[in-house]
Amino acid sequence: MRERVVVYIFLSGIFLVVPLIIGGYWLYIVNLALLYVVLASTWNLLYGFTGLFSFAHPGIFAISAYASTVLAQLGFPIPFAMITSSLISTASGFALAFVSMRSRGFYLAMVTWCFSEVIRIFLFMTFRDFTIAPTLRLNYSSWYYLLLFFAIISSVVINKIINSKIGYYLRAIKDNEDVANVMGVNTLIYKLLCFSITSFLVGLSGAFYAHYVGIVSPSLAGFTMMGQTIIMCLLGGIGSFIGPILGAIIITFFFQALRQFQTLWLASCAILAIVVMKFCPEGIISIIKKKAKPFREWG
Amino acid sequence: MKIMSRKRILVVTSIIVIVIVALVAYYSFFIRPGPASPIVIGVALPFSPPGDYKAGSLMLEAIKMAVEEINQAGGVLGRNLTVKWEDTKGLPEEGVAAVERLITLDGANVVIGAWHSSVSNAINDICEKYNIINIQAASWANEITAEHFKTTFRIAQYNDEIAQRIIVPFLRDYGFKNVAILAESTDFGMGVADAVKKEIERLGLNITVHVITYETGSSDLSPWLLNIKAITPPVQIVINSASGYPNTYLVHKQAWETGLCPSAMILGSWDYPALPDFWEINKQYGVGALYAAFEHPAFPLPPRAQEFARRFKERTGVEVPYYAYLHYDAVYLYAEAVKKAGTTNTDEVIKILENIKFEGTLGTISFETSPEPGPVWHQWTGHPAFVCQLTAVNQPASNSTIVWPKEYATGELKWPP
Repeated sequence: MRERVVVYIFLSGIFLVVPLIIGGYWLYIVNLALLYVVLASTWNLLYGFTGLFSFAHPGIFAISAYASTVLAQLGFPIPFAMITSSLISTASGFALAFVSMRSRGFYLAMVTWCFSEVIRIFLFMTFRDFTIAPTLRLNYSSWYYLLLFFAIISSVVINKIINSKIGYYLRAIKDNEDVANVMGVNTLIYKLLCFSITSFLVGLSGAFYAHYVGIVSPSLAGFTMMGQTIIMCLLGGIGSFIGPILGAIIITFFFQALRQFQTLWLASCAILAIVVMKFCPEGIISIIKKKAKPFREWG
Repeated sequence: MKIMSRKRILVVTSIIVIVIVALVAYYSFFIRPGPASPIVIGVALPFSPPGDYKAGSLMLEAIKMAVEEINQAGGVLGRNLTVKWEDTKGLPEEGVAAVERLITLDGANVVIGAWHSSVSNAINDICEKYNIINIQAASWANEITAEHFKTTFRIAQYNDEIAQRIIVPFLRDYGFKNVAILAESTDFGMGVADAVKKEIERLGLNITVHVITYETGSSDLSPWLLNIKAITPPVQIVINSASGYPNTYLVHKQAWETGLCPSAMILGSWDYPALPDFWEINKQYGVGALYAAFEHPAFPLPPRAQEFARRFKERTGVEVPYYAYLHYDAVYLYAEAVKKAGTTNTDEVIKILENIKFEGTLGTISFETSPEPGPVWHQWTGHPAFVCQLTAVNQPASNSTIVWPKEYATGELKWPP
């Protein structure tokens, strides 16, 4: 326990001084990585802990990004726009879950994929190729602390859920939904709850993205982000708490490192996914746990 | 033993973290260009999907050719130019990352980019933030210069200009009354469509316009072409407002396959029929294709431009597209401005650029700046403008017929049978 506290303090110190050490391009990438930490962690909660293979992340992300942009353009304060858009995305996620939760496995994946596609096409029909989003007047360092705070709070929330009775029920649903039902777990309620919480966090990520990058486009609801999120969870370790966080950070920097290789970065995604599934199906976190006993307790 | 191994882990982890942080800090803070080091031409273009990587690679070649020539001639202010390029992938957040890297890590003195209008708009903010000149040589969205950024200069056309100076005058002069615009779902595609409609309204012309939009990247355009075919009275001409590959090229072939052609003509909103893929994809279906062009051998370009075109073809194997001229000019323009300013200081170079008259490959480049809201801000508006028609299979663009402006026409417009 004492060692864990020491490590937490050490890591906190590192996190706090990051903007003093790096700036510009690298800090911009770190900030993107923090957004991906939330996306990967929430998807992991859906699939890794509840067994819901969902492609709704891009659609939810885009709904909130656009809603926040539109509200900000109408003159509402950006923080208000962000919270409101997150609630809109939560409602969308809840509605989607409500109509699709009887579907399982492949069918759930297809329903959620169609949802994201419908959102993408709707945004393309309604808006142009891109829409300029008002940005918060912050430098990258301020963004870093804001996004770090967001990533930490999201991770704490997800950790609390995982380690609570709700998490226990979610795992039961993943293991065998029918048996969980028979044992008295209201699986529909818990799936709706899981979907709603993740939709809120994904929506807030989308709102942050809009006001960070300053441009939103219908491609946000496309498959590129979903593919990256899945690879992050695969690499880090689906079903573990820390795995997707590690995966998000590693993959974000890995893709940036491949910048100079042009089209090869696409092939690298596929190769990486195959290598991970073949040699390390439980992700990097499983290797770390095997090698380092203290880390076994960390999820 | 247990305590020792945990301590060891902590120590090892700390050392690894400190080394990584130190490396990043060193690279970020201590590598800085000195005064005698090369002038860095930052290039932010698409080199991988979902961006238009084919166009990106051709534009980069044009930029490299200009840099090589300038260096062979002794460089600028005693300094060589060097090209640093980054892949935007055609995505705004990647474009931002690319330009952040170019400016903060590679020390770019100028950024040339970014082809996709959404990316160009995103990088404008970054260049303005770091006070680095941003030369737009290919993105047409009005918004790019409409934000009136100090550091943004555009030598490419803009959507309103294409509509006002080429497409609508062509439609008017040839008496077209029923027009369809097949627009891809990009700001370029829909921007040109909006600009054409707006200009027709402004002039009060009796032309009916039907706008049909489709998802960029679609390779089967038959459903939309059949929609156009079903319009009554029949559409006389379809304006192909697209830049994506391969959908832009496929329109001609699929228009014939759906029976829309030969009764309707097809007008490309830029000179993609000049590129080799056009005939490979369309073969006999490309005959009769019309396109907006910004240069033609009938009006010989300056010897320097002709030499560039010849060497570009030798280097890349393809006829030079108009945007390659503009990227080649962008480098020379910047070099000239730096030479006149006597410094790479952005504010001094901007003062020169705002008043420059530079002999580019496509004409004399100078920048119009209107304080009124709109895209005429640090904008070159003197582009040559033609509508050309291909009249035989595998015809090189250099042999195409100029059909508009009528006073410069080199032949008659070949109407459908």
